[in-house]
Amino acid sequence: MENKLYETGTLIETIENEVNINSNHLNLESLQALSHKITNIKKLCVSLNIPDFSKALWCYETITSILYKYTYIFALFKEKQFYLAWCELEKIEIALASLKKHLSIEGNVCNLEFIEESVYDLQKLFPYRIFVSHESIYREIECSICKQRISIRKPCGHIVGEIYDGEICGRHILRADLLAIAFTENPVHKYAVCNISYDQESKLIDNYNYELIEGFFKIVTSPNDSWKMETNVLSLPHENFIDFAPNDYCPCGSAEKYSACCLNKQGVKHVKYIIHLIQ
Amino acid sequence: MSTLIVDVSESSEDFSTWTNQDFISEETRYIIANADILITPLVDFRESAGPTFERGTELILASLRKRLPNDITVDICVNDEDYFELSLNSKYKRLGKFVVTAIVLPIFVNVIADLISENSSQKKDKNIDSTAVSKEVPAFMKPATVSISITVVNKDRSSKQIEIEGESSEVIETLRSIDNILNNGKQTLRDGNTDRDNRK
Repeated sequence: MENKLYETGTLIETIENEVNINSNHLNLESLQALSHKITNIKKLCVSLNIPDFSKALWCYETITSILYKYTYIFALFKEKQFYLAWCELEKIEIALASLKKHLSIEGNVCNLEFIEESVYDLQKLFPYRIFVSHESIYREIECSICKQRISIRKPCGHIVGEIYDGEICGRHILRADLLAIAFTENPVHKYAVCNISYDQESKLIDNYNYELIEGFFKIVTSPNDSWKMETNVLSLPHENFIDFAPNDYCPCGSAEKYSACCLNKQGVKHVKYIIHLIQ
Repeated sequence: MSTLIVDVSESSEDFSTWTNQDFISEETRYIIANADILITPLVDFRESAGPTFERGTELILASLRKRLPNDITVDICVNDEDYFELSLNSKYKRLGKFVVTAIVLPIFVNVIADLISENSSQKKDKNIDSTAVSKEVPAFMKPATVSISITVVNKDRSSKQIEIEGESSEVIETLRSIDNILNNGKQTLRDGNTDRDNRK
């Protein structure tokens, strides 16, 4: 057993090095290969019943998945698959939140602080502002680890967000009743964007304007580029907007009338994003 | 502008209001009879919904049981097989409704404040501050609103209800000074609607 522990420990050290190297040279194929490797070693640790190693490997698996998703976003930008890129950004957010319960990313561990900041800045550049949310009653919920139905008086003991046998504990909703659909500006699920659907041939129907993201992608073309975004709030002269009547929507995009928003101010509010490439 | 609402009012509710409900069995009534803290369901959300609990109540109950001293009894006003969660998918964290004896209130609010604090730090809204630029972020990037309703029952069975709603840091601060608020009956209102208003 001691030999196996030593061998597995050495394997984990190798994985740690590989994750570090990959985080500085993002490449989809390498990250995919690394992910498979980690999953196999994790299976070995689970079979040998070494919970600490299984948990460490879950962390590396999650880091690799975040790096992969961040890299994949650039491939999606290239293909102009902006909505899918948006969904990947949300998946990164969720994965980071789960990971940070178990591993501090302070000091930009594996480039994760940079990716966290990048996700936040990229989301600002997307045009989505209204989302759909559902009101539902969850009538049957089970633990993702032991598959037992949730009982409030006889709990299974597995804690949501903790790692068991290399898997994170969550809840599966087995049966739910939909009560209503609502619109919200501040959703739990950001993927539920309004006005995006699929036609009968499963082709995405998407009429949003992605000029900010396209502008970003002209400057930052690779996931390996290091960049920073600066946000400035400017005031543009009213002469630039002579075509706007007082009862029109304000050109600042607030969805209020021009007369009730910027018309009586010094100028029209305009948010400007500046992308800096860092050498 | 403050985003905090604190609403204190006299209440006619106490533990018996809940332990006498028709939707719980005799067995459950017996189990919850001596609770110091009782998590109560929403019964008036939608007619067809029946008694339901906020999403994640199961986890709050487990955390309270783990963190509170053994001599404080926490329970939930529902039969085990009737525990259902209501999911309202906006970024609005409803902690739920609690009936609490006055004697355990200080320790209860501290544990709840710790839970909110741990949950907010995991999300790490470090990019969101009150500078002019950060006010320009879309609504979906702003911090989640947190709400809680607590009915405090005194020894003589008189009770007060306190409802708190705001950003997590404001709710934590309010919970930590709940004695002052209960004594002064402080109320703060904010501008604009929230989806809490829509539920009324």
